[in-house]
Amino acid sequence: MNERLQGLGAEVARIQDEALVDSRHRAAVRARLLRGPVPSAPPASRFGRPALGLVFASIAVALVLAVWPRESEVIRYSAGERSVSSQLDEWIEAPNGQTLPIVFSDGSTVQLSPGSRARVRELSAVGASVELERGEANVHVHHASETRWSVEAGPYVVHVVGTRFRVQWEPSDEAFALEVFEGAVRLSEPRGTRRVSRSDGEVRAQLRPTVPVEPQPQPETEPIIERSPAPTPAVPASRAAVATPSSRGVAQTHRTSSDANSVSYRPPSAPLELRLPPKTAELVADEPAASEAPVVAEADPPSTPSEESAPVSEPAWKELTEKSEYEKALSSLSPQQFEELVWQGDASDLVHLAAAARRTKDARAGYIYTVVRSRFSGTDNAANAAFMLGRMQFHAGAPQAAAVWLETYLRERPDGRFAREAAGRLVEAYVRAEDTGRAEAAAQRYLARHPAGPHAALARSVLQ
Amino acid sequence: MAVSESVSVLNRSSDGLRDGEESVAGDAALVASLKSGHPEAPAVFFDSYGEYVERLLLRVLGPDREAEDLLHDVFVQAFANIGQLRDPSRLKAWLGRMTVFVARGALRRRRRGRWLVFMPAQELPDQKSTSTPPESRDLLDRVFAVLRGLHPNDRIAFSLRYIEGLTLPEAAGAAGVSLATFKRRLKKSDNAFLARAQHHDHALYETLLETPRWRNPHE
Repeated sequence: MNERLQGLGAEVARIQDEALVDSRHRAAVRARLLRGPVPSAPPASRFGRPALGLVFASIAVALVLAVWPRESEVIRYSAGERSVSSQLDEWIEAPNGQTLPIVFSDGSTVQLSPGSRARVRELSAVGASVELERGEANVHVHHASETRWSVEAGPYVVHVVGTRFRVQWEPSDEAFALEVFEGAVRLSEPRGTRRVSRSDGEVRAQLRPTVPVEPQPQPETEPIIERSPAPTPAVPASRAAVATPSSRGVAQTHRTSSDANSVSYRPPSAPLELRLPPKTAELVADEPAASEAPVVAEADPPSTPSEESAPVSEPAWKELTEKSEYEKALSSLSPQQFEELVWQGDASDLVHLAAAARRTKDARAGYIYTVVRSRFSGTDNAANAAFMLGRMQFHAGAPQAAAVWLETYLRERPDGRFAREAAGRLVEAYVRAEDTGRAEAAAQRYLARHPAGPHAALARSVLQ
Repeated sequence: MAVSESVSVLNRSSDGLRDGEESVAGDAALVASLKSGHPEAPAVFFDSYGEYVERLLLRVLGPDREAEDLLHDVFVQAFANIGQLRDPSRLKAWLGRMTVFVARGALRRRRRGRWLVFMPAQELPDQKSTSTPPESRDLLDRVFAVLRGLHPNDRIAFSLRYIEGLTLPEAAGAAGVSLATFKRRLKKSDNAFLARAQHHDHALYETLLETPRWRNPHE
């Protein structure tokens, strides 16, 4: 029966995979995700894993000793007139003109101001986590020997041990306020983490800039990547654009909304914009004639440098790639320089770098092409990167993934320079994946367009 | 079918191709970029793993009207917690576990919601794919109707093992439990699935028992 269930599961997966081809949902989520503020990574712990393990072990032992022999009980709560509960994720809303207290069994209280909305996200024996969706909450956390309490408000998290404070969050204008009345709290915010105490007074933060941003001309059609740096009135010069709320806020005003797939995300405030050349070099323009022999690297960089794309002083790595000294070229870059090049270099740089990585079997090649797809979305370079990713996946023994990339290339550039080879490789990929139906369809398409192409024999053998 | 012949043709024609020259790794660099706050790292991260997460959600939840929101939630959590990922080579596994965690939260929420709302969330119309043939859609509907009656943990075990086709250790890792616990849940899910199919969808049960069509393709 186990085998029957596996067979049934495989059938379900096959049907689901067909639905997954439709990427509209994904595109919508992508646009939504990158439009809003992306929560930043919290700082890494100062403790190593073993030390942390010891700390946890000590806490566990202390807890066991403290509560022995009775079991520790998870905190419960009641909201307004509701009975005591341990329900999670249930929204609690204070009516207009009336506050609503949430009382926890550990003695802590969260008093919601009129019109505020919150929910309990987590309950444990030593604390709780409450999310304030909007409005204001006056919080009093009962201090105990081990307390783990937190209040989330948008991207902000207030970590509490035992104190009294007021927190406010208005999602409509992304305004956050915190005022500590007793003790101190640890505030995690997009910029990092800091300690806030009574002496700090009221802490206010706003993700969106309060100053109006000038309307951008033709925002629907112009790709962000090709813009010159836009005026950024409320943007600090920090490089950490992901973790800079104000830059995020400005970035929203520059996002196009017409096609989530064809627009790459780049906050205009990022200083790296200043180093971008005025135009992006197209990979195919500098390419030698492509061959469809499977072993030929069609998208390799030219043997002579392009005058137009060369920076004022040719970097050492680039000179080395021109001498075909690819390993030296890659090793001449420190990890930091490599990252800067990938994220700040122009398309031509990235194409050269990816080709060098590919030739030296450096796994970073795939990473570079993926970045090209994102940064130069909608360009020939992005499409060609899809083709190269398809080839790489194919060589790495992942024909299904290869087929996805090759299909992507053919969809984006049906008459592109690599269209014939992509179509042929697609047949190969489906054959290797033993996907009979798609292999036949790909073979038919190939023969219809390239009856005398180098993959014609393979295509005919598929259809026999 | 001429696939086997095609494979041999392919092998002949592509000798020398399989030099293993590249693999799309780069997770370490991607994680470093995310941690350092590169402005475009989130986009690359989503482009690299969006489909994987969507697929995993689909496996566990089936066609779901909340799918977009949950996909969004997974990435929001991933961005917020990427600093805690110590081993970048585990990025995919880490993200998979996070996805299962989010899916489990949705299942639990709905299970609780059954007692609170007039119309059970599970009976709300799911997202229908217009491209799916009716007979395939019917099979999906029936399988997930049976799965809805299972405990979320058992349903996840079933989905990861049988639908996504993960190995037992992989599935246990994605579910965030020990191998022994996962095996226990899987056994429970087997029995619960069959029992529910027998009582609520006898046709499916009979088909499952009798039709060789659903034999394990790897047999």
